[in-house]
Formats: sequence, structure tokens, C-alpha cells
Amino acid sequence: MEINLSIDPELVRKILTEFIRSEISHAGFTRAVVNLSGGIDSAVSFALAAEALGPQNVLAIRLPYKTSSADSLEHAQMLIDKFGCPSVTISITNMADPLIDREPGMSEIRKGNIMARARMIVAYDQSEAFKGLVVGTGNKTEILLGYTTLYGDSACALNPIGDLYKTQVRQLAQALGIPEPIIAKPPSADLWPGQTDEGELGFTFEEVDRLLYLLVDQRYCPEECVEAGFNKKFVRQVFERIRKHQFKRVLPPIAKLSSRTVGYDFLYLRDWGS
Amino acid sequence: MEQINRAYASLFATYVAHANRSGFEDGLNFWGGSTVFDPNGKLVAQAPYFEEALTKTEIDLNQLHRTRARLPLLRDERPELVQRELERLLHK
Repeated sequence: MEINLSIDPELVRKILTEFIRSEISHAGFTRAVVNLSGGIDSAVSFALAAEALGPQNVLAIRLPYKTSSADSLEHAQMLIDKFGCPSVTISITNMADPLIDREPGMSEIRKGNIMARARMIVAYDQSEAFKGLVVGTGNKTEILLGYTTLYGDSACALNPIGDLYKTQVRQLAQALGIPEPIIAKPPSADLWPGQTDEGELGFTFEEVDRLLYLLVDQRYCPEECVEAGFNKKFVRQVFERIRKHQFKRVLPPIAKLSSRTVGYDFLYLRDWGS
Repeated sequence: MEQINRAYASLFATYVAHANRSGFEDGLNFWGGSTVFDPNGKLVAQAPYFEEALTKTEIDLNQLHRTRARLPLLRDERPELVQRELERLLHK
């Protein structure tokens, strides 16, 4: 079985900038806001939005917490300078800490979720203030693995990069001229010092993207992936992660009572009538 | 899609014109690139990918005769046999 994750970056760039323009104008807007973490995913979403809408129409938001690495802020600033977009920097420490401090010894997961949701609150507030839609920054790898905070970093009005695996985002980043330090550094949610995505997940993006491509895009079953040479435990672990996190990818179920229920019988396209 | 249209044009020794939309429908991207294939499976017209376009071409209906004389797939076809087989598959 052939695994080819290479993309045509110029074609993808054209489709995704057109997607952003089309979705935002259909919704009656001309502007966007993007939370810039300093990482490669938000850098790519931001660069696409700036190219699609014009830099003056994209607000870059930097949201450091007291433990965030200095690199994150610096790398986000590099992008703001490069694209010449308006920006705001708002510390989330004073938003998150009163909740975190209520329970000494709170787990890192809970703290991380609180930070991600505090950032979502600021993004949506700035969305209203700037009259721009929130452009999402989640890639296909993390969406499939559920490596995201529900109603936190996953919250957005549109997501241009959600069908690109992490390794494909890297290819697009090169074409978009994202500064090298952002492309080269190890991916991290930066929710606690020294955290890396690959360390937390227990495998590399290179490995898992190849497996996801077979399981999801090519619809091979787990047994066939094992036969193709993937470690059995790894395949099982990834498959279970995809299955277990389905709830993060769909809207919550509504208990049906009437003859016409939102989500079951009331099914219009998102851009219905526009 | 182009392979399929080319295959149909060749197999039925006929022209196949396929109009594909471009742009976005609820976020879903369509690639444009409408095509016309002649009875030999040769591409005679193609619209640009991902762009709206009015693409015109003339088709030479005598090409049907020339291709079908060279490759008499339609003449040799046994539609009653095909029909019988289809009936058998559908109603067995």
C-alpha cells in the first residue's frame, strides 16, 4: 500500500485562501481574528487569512499565560511583523488563576483545559470587537486523535487547515514563508514548561500521520495496517483514540421529542440562504 | 473523474461532455475543469481548474461514424444478452 502525504502547496494555498474568502463573505463579514500561539498551525492559518482578506483585516491575538515560554510570544511577534497585521496581547493569567488557585494540586490537564478555554473567551470577545470571524488552527492529526480541548482551541467559525495532517501543514508552511524557527521547533501546546505534543502523545507526527492516512483516508482496517508493518499496539492505540474522541467532532445529541428536531429533521446547510 | 469520462467516451464510442462546478458549496470546494471527450477518448475541450469559465467547442458528429467503423463495439453489442444478464443479476 502506498503512503503519499505530499501536497501541492501552491494549489492548496489557492484553495484555502479562496475558502476563507468565500466562507467569511457568505457569513456577511470581511474580517477575521486568529489566536497566535507561536506554533506552526496557527502561523499557517494566520498567513492564509492575511493573504485571503488582506493583512489589515486580520487581527492577531497573543494570549500568554505566566508559564508560557518566551519563544511563543516572540515567534508570534515575528509573524505579526512579517504580515503587518493589527495585533493585541492579553495575558490570560488573571483570567485563569482564580479558578486554578481554588484547588491546589490541580492536574496539568485541567489547567491546560482552563487556559485553552480562557483563550477561546478572548478570541470570541475580540471577534465581536473587531467584527471578524474566528479562524481555527486545528490540523487533521489532532482532530482525529482528539488532541484538543473541546470549546477551547477547537472552537472556531471556520477552519482552513483541518484537512491537512501535521506533516502536510509543515509543507504548506514552507510555501507560505513561515519563519524557519517556527517550522523547526518541536510542536507543543505550551500548557506547561517543557511540554511537547510528541512527548505527550507517545509517538511522532511522521509515524502517526502515515497510519492515519491508511486508516482514515484509504479506509484500511487496523489488521491490514499491522500486516503493512505498523506495530500492533500502536495501531490499536491510535484506532482507539480516534474512536474515543468522536464526541469532540460532532455536535451534542439533542433528545428528540417533537416532529421536527434540530440536528435530525431540521437539516440545512450552514450557509443556507446566504 | 476525467479517467471515467474518457473511459465512457471510448467504451460507447460517443462524445461525453461533463460540466463540473467550481467554487464552494457550504465550505466544500469544487474543482471545475469541465471536459469534452471525443469517441476516441481524446480530450477536445477543457475548462480551467477551480475557475468559473464559459468553455465552447465544436464537435464533429462524423467522428462518431469514423470511430465506430474502426472500432465496431456498438455494432457488435448484443443488447438482448446484456438485458438478460442484468435481469438475472437483479432478480436472482
